[in-house]
Amino acid sequence: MKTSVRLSLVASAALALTFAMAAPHARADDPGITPTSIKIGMIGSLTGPAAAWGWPTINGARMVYDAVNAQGGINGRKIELVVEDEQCAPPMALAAAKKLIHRDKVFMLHGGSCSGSILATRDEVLANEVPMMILVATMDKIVQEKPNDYIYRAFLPGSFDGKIIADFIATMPNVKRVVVVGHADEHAGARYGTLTEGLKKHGVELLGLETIETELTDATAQVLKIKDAKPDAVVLVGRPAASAVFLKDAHRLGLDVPMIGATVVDLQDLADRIGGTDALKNMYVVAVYKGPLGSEAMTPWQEMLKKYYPSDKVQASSFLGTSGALAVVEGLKKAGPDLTRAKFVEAMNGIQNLDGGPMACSLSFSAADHDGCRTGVMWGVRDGKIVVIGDRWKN
Amino acid sequence: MEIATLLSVGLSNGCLYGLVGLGLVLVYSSQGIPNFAHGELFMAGAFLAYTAIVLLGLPYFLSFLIAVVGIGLMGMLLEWLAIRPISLHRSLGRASSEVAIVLATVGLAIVLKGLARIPWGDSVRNLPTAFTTQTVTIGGVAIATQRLLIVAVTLVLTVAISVFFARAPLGKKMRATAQNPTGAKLIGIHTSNIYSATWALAAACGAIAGVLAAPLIFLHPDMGTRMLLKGFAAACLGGFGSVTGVLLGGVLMGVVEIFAGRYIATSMMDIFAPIIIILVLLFWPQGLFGARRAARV
Repeated sequence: MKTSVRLSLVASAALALTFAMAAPHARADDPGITPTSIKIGMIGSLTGPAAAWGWPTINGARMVYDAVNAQGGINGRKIELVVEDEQCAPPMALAAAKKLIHRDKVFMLHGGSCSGSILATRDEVLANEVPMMILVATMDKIVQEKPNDYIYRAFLPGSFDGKIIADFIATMPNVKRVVVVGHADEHAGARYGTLTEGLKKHGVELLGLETIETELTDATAQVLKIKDAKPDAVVLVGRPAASAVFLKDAHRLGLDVPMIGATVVDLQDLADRIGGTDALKNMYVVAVYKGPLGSEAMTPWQEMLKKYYPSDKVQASSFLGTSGALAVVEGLKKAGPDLTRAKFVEAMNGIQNLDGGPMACSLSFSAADHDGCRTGVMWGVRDGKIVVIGDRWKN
Repeated sequence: MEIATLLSVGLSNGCLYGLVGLGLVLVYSSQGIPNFAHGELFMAGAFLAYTAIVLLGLPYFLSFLIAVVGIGLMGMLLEWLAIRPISLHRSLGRASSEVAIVLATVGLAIVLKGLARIPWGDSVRNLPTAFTTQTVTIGGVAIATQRLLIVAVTLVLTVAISVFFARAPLGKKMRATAQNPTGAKLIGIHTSNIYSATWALAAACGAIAGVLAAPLIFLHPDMGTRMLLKGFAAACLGGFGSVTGVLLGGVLMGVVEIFAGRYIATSMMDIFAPIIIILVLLFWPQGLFGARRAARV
């Protein structure tokens, strides 16, 4: 009798161990899940230097969750959101992540408007095995540095931005000498490496990097220095307000070479800030969307934003976080009704060719690669209108 | 040609720094405290003008007037609500009272910025320029019309304020109160009202700077923070006790800043203001144009 009991215990232990081995890290009591809700913590730059991207990108993602909730949720669970401000400051971002993970006990995180600040949360997120979808932060290593089993991104990483610009410049006629104008922050730094490499590969001389402040009020000194260098083109890796100031002054001071902007800026937004497209006649920008605002491809998303956030201004930055929310919803659906963090991660790793919604890219993730979006194309201004140019220059 | 271009931009930037510094100097001369909420008055002026021009569709110069008068009244109200109760608090000594008022201005800055976020959020907005013609060419140099307006308004305002302090009864009372509050009280000047008037004038100067600067730097609830630093630097350089000094200090700073950016390194431009503050406080605490004060001990 004693032997059979002992055997039963050993068999039970072995069975339990087998299940545990089959689903590593699976926890039945993962936080943030109830029979009727899934709690997601969102982090954004609601105030501070990148505040212009805060609520627009958060709401662009929230509208997807709102739409899902309006249709009854996912497997009977509605998505409950807790939003925290990171002020584009690393200590604030880390504090926000800790609060959401430990006090609010969220199931997962969706956030990050500033690369430098959200990078500070990386160790905390990985140590606590919390799945995270990056909102719009583009620094490569947030997602690409190993090990990373939990952090995903459905937005073009910064290094790809730099590569797309370098490849586009290589197709432009008579462009052999380039000056880069940009900030001295992580956001811009994410692009400089591949941009420099790409320019070198294509035989384009990099004449120098001219720094601009994020709160630039006048760019006369920078423009005059660039004019002295006589470049064939200028690459602009600046945040929207600073880029608008630079372009305004470049136009006023007669710097009329082609300018190529990173995804940080949007042509329509620049035109709104500058007050027309005159200063943008020779401007190209890496775009991540399927089409300009108002185009057929963007209309459903614009309508969705108006429906859930009618007071929000429909602007280019509004939909930068949408693809991430679409990927999260897909992952949650695929993870099934017995949701755990491990099942969600497994489901995310299995997503292939998911429509990126407003994004031009389709989303594919794997266990080895959590950067799901790798496509961007150039847009430019022709006859005062914003048009899709493609990945090669054309007149 | 390039020198002229740099001078035109440096001069107009400097005028803005001087205008912001002027508001700081007025309050400092009267009450001996730096007003850390002055950047937010600059911001509030710009947003009030935006409301009038863009949302209500009023003409530019009428909106300008509304913003200046509105923020002037707001300055008066802030003094009455937040500063006066502290200065009249008898349990505080003079030194403690000054510290408490300085802290109150820091608190006001945070509150005003937070309040601005309620209707305006964090989106960056554009204020149209005063003129539809964006640039004019003078001697082959393309100059933004808004920058010409900044220089013109600053010159007019400098003359007007100098005349006000020299001739107007209220200006004379303000000077008397600044020089000797107890003596001013003894000759029948209601110093509390004078402080309110000073805050109104300082706030109006901030609003003028905000409305003039907004088309160049875009509207945002945080737009006053950086300008406050520049204004402090201008006031330190010119001297906290001199109206013309602070404007000259601002102009000097604007011009040197842009030349340093052009011929040394553009990355120098933004660290220039704090460097000036430190150097001036170390070597010329009275500023380049301020009078050295003697203290009887």
